[in-house]
Amino acid sequence: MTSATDKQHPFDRDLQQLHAAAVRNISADTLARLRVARHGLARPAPRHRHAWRWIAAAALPAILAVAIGVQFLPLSQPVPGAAPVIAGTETGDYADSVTALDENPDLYLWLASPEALPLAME
Amino acid sequence: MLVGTAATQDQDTPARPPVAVSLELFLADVGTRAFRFAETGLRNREDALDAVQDAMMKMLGYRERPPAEWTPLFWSILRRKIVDLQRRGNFRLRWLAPASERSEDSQIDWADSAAGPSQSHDQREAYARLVSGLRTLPARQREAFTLRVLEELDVADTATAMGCSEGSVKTHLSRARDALRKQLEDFR
Repeated sequence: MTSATDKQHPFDRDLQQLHAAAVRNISADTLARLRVARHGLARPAPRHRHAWRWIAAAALPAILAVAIGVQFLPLSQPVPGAAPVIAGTETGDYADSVTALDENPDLYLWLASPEALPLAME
Repeated sequence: MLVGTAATQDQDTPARPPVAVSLELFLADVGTRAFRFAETGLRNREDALDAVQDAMMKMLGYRERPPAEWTPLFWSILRRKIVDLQRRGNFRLRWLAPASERSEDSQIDWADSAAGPSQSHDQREAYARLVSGLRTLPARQREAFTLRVLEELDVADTATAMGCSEGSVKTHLSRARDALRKQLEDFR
């Protein structure tokens, strides 16, 4: 099936002529849009024509989630500074006690003496 | 002998349109026909304009290709863009759009002709019937008929644009022509 045969067929020829007429009769508005589109100026991001719908659909649940999360935020948040102070105090006391024992050999001498034995047997 | 060979080649290979000297001229020439192609496939004026614009934008990246390759390349890009928009259109919430917008966009774009309104009306009605018939065809048959017959691409370029073999193009074209003949008896 050759193109020449296709062209000679009245059916194809008539449809070609009709199509050519349709191409000639495109509205002025569409022609202007096509002309501007060629220069890429009118709508630089045509796929974003419906973007506001998707943005709204995504933003609304996000805002709700943040709003709900903010309400729970004060309850779950620890008191600022409290934990480090307590931890620091406990650690400091323990260290001080160990230091005191290390610096006082009399305690170990008393533990090894006969005076401490009855106390340990009670 | 030589003349006979040339005549055979002329029959097998149609006279190719002159190659555009620049990509801008090529796009200016093909723009309106591309819009009609996209309009038939997408059934929506805005989507058709988007598809044509995206295809033109993408063609700018192939500026360095030989001009002889532009035609099948452009139709291939546009065809894929239309398929992409058709798939996306299935997920689009069209009911969100105003009813007036939906009805206007789905109609065939046609210029208001002051001269010869009767003839213009007849042509519009006839073209609407052609588009309606094309839209009832499977996509591949519609593409083959539009590119091969209406756009007058040769078999090789049509096959390149459709991403299939030349044999497939002929098969799709034959089936499309048979189906359209049944629908458009007036044109026989």
